Amino acid sequence: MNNLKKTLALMAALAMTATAFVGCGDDDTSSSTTEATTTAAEETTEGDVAEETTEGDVAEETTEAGEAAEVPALGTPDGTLGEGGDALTILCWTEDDLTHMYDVVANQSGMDKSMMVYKNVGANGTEANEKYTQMFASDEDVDLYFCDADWNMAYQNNDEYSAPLSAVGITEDMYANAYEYTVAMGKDSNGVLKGASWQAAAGGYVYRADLAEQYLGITTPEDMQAMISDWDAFWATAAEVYTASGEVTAMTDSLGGVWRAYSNGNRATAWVQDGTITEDNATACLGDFISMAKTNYDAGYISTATQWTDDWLPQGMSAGAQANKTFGFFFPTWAIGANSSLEQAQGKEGTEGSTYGMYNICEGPTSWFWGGSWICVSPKTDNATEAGQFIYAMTVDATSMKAYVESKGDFVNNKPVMAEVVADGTNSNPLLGGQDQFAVLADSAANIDMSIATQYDATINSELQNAVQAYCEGTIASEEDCVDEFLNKLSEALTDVTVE
Amino acid sequence: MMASTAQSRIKSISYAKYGYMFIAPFFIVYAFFQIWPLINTFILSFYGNGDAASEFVGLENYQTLLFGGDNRRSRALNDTFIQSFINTVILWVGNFIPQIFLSLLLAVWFTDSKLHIPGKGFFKVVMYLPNIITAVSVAALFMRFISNSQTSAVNIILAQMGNEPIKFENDPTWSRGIVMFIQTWMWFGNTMIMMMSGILGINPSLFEAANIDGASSGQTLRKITLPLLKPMVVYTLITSMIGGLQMFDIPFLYHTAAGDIKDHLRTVAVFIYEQFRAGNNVHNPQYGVAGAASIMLFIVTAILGIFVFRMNRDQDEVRKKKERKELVKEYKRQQKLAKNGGLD
Repeated sequence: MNNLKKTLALMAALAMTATAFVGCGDDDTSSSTTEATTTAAEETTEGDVAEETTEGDVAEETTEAGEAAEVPALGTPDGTLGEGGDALTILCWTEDDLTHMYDVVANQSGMDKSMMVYKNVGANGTEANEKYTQMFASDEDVDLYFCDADWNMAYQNNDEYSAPLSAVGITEDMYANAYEYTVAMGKDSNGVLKGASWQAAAGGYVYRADLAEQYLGITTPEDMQAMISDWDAFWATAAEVYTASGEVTAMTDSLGGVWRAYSNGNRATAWVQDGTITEDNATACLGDFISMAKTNYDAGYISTATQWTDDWLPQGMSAGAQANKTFGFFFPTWAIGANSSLEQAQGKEGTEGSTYGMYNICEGPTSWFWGGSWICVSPKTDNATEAGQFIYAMTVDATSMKAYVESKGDFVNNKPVMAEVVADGTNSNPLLGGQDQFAVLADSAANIDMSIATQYDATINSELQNAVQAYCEGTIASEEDCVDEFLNKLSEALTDVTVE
Repeated sequence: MMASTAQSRIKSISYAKYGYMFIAPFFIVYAFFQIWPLINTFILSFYGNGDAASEFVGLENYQTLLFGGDNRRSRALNDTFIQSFINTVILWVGNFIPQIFLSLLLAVWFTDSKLHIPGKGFFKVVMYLPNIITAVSVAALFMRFISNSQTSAVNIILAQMGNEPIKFENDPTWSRGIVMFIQTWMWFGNTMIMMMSGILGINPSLFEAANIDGASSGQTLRKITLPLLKPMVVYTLITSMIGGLQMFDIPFLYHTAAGDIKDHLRTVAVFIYEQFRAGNNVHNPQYGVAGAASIMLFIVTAILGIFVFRMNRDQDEVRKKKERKELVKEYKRQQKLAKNGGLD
């Protein structure tokens, strides 16, 4: 009897302790993630889906657009990564692209569509980056993950987070048709290929065609481009628009947009050199951006809204509190396809104030790019074969990439495919009133140079935008204070870079 | 003989160990989740940041935060830390003073037997309600109501009246005022309930006596309620101060652009949070600086707590204690004298 009591007491105590520690265990779903399996209806994609690439010699390093170099077929995993998992889990911060990818990948590789599952961290920018780290730290099942251009280097340079693509059968010679910068950005600091991109994120200026006709008397994108061919012309046109609209319509959507166009189009040197950011180099990188921003912000040519806030996209509509606040947006390719920011900015077709299809695109004052996404392989993957198949279908195989262009309207990372799409002239973007954005942006994409990118660019971009925003809004008094504030915040945030 | 062995056996049975067994889970969990993290914070504050996290740097983190240094990073951290301390104090004082006045006033009204306020229970519940809503929802509510956004209610009203929209978060006075208001609004109900329980704990015969003697309600308040309520006020002051110095949620959440914390709203707790997860540096967080700031916050809170506690001790009680001690001393001395005298 006594023993029974003792045992009971001990068990009760143990049970209590055990429940107290339950919180430490790893849950398979964290509250901030949403999981979903593919349920989309089977869509038929054009073209033959059989593997058509053949084993061939290594193609020339560079190819002229339009001339397709032959690429080798997908290799086999080298056995260093796990196999046999029952789902290919893809970590992302938006599933808009992914839902279009399932069919493309399934058709190309024969993989069962229900194999592919995504986990959306539900956050943007730097925050998404943080959520990723948490996911990795909590040992969640992740096979592939998407990385933004601002922070993919940090993941690729860390062997704990990324495996070489050769481990899943992907080699560099497969990217003979890709835009060079995507391959360069996909390598870690030792030159090992660790990420592959399916898109080239060339940027353009997307503007309200109806307002252009009303305020400037312009009807074609070519005439518009002539009006804004450089920054001086751009701001001169901005003045016209602002006056004609009764001081309502700003030329551009946000400071962040101008900075993206300016920094990736006009900046010539890397922010961090030899592990330091000097004030001189920072000033050189900034150019006349701060004074340009301040002058035009004060004049009302740059909207006061901030990117990714509630005020931002509604500016593109013609009714509501933010009606007609902006004449146009600086948008890259990924923001003007199906389910994109532009679609949100226009509002649902038929609703009050919707500007659906009333936009046009032109190159804008500078040739620039914004972001882009790289697919990386987690070293802890248990689906090496499927991971390889996914990457191959999305970033190498010409047929499936073309299918993706037709499905999502994204600018894929394959020169011959894009040249073909432009030559076909079949692409007509309903958001742009039927205009073909690829024809406008093809040249910009070929010119993208990311050799000056560093893994600190995400922090630098966000701190700079905060500082310049504060200066424009008047909370920082002078340009020197603005630079000073920017460098101070940077020095606090970066431990392994010296800010002088 | 049998009985005696049985008796001795019973004597030797100790039930104490079962008691220990039952309370052990709590202590194990406490040690694991409370004591160890505390000690670890201490240890971390003596180590480096980012990639140098395993390097022992002694008091360098403290020195950087308190006095700055000769490079930009140290100066920037020092400025931010000091500013965040000032912000914390401003935000706390600004919400404590209106909060204590409001809750005292309401508590006095609600407990006054001469005033017959209808629906007391209803009002008590309604005033306590804001405290039940999570800070996240409260911040979201206020973001929609009054914030930088041009689509927030106040800005829409301003626009309709033909005024320029105001960026409320950017303006130090506005944004601090709003945060203070939110804090007051969230906590005055709670403080009011505490004050009421304090007042109801006062012997009602005192009020009756005052009433009979013809004291006005002002006199009753000043001469009876307030002095006897002092322990409760001190308790509220201390708990509010500890909570206020660690203020995090509202100042952190009251920002349209997440991550862009305004310099005039950054409290010490927000600073600590920013340091150990700073931006792009999620891969090498700055535990050293964050740890040092936490320890300093802890020390300041402890000192202030002790100070307030000593200041507000019952002076009579202290004097009596002293007198008692003196008496005991005196008595002992005399005894000693008597003893010595006896020997002589």
